[in-house]
Amino acid sequence: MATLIEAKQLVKTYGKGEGSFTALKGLDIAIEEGEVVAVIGKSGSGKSTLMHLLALLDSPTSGSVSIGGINASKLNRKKVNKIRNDEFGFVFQQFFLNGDESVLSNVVLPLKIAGLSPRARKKRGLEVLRAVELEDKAQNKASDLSGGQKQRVCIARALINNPRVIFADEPTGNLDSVTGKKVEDILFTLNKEQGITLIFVTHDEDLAKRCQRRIYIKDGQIMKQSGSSK
Amino acid sequence: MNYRDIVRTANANLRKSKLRTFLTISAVFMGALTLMLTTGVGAGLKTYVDEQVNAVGAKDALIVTVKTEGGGPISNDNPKEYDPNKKQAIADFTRQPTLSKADLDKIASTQGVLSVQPFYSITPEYITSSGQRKYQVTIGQAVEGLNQPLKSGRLVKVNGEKYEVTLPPAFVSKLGFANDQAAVGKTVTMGFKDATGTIFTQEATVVGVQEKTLIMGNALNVNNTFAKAAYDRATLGVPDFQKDQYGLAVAKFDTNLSDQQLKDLKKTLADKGYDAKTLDDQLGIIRQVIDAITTFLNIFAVIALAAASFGIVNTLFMSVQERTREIGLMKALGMGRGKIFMLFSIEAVLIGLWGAIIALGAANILGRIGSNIASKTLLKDFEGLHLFAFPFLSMLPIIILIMVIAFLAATLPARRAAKLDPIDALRYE
Repeated sequence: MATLIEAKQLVKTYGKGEGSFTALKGLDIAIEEGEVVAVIGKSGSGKSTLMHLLALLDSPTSGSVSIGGINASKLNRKKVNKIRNDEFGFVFQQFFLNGDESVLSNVVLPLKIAGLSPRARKKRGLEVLRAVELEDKAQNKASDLSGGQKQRVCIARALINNPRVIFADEPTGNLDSVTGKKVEDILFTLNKEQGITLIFVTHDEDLAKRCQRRIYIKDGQIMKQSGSSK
Repeated sequence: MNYRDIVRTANANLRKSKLRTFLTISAVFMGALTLMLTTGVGAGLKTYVDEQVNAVGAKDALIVTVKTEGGGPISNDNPKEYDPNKKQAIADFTRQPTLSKADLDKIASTQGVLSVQPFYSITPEYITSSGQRKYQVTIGQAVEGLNQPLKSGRLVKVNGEKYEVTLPPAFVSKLGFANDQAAVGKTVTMGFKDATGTIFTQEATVVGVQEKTLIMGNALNVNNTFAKAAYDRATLGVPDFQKDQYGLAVAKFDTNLSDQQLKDLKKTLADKGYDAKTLDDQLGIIRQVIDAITTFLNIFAVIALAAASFGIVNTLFMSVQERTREIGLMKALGMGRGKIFMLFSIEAVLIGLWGAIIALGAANILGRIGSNIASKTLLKDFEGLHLFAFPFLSMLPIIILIMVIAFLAATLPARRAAKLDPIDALRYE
């Protein structure tokens, strides 16, 4: 399988001078296409920073992140935005849904940003809502949904652009274990059926165990890895 | 995000916090209304002046008087040497230097001038009609092409055979006519003093009733035939050199002249010692006064708008604050800085647009009411004056100006939104 995301010697330092803090201290990582990877660590370990860098939400102090063999630090902001819009999906712990708006319009936000016509957005939006079994809630206000339903809406939103990779930052952190399991199942099914690469950031060992590969981060460095992509 | 979606999203955001949007739009509305009303007054007055000039017509007429130098012998300037060829200002303020027959010829021979008609200095002692009292009156002399607006009847024939006159409206009932129509065709009598001080009378037929205008005021218009006859009789026995003295003359020029050529013509006449002005020139001073007043009032309106723009800044800062996570999300999902900036600045521009449009509607209503009240009370002497005018073409720049101000007000908050770091924004509680 081809390498989808490759990070080399990632260093990320926040602040300058004496007050500075180095969150990542020269980290190498390669993620294959179609892999399911869990990045595990305590808070302050640098796992979120790692995800932000891999997802091109932030740029490293030194080192490089390549997406499909292209060095992202050499790209301009517009191209980076386009990669995130076209190829990445995001699922966050706090959902980030717009409660006043309908489920459908929340789901189609990435396509709206991409500039698709309302008609095409609606068609694709209903498709992905069907995939998460929320088609009947399309016109409901997002705030009227339960926690599990909200996270399924988020998955639908992450899915809408046919991403190559979905970044999931503590996707089940706000859910009870039964609902959380159901959300995980949806994500794993996506990986199996559509080959979408999954990168979880979590401190939930149960979730980590279900992943092919687990990368343990401590103090900005990889402490150990288990499982393999092969 | 395409532009249509940006506008829609901005509009939806405005609807989300209705009260805040309403208050911000209100502030813009106040400023816009003030600006529109002040501009409206200026436009109304100017339209009136323009209409008056147009109504009077005679675009091909120059009013020629003698150009005088300095303040005359009593001025504080250095004494000037006597020059027999130059006319000098006369210390007696009741008399102005006059044009002689030779002057008229000189003016007529100037290139570009088609004809010259002197204005006879005749002052009637009174006007009356059969069985009525005598009233004081000022007369104006009709000029070919001069289009005095009429309430009824027709204009005088300038060089017609008969003695003709049009009456100002105020004289209709005073002279015993039932109404404007009834006055037409009737005869009025005017009394003049001749050289010996004896009063003689001259009759004229009323051919029309004038509308009251800025330029003519309450002067009645007589035709040239009447004026010349009265003048000849009044100056009977006066030596020619004293008789041929005219306060002013009207010179017709070729209407095909360009503005520059007209300017040159005025200069040529000025070089010859004459002061030549079109009606438009004479009203220029009125326009300048209106402009000055309008500008002064507009300054207040712009201050109000500036205050409103702070309201916009505040509203948008709040909006950015409230929607920090939403902005963060949109940026994470690949929305560029430019589009985020646009989203907020268009929100502001929409506030400006709504404020301006509502203000335009309100200004029209208020203006109409104001014009009505004013023309019945304060300004009832000025027929045809609408105190406020809102021609769309002069309102459009105001609407655009307000949108530009709103846009400028938005730059600060919109910049903040555009520069938000998606990670920080998503963490924001």
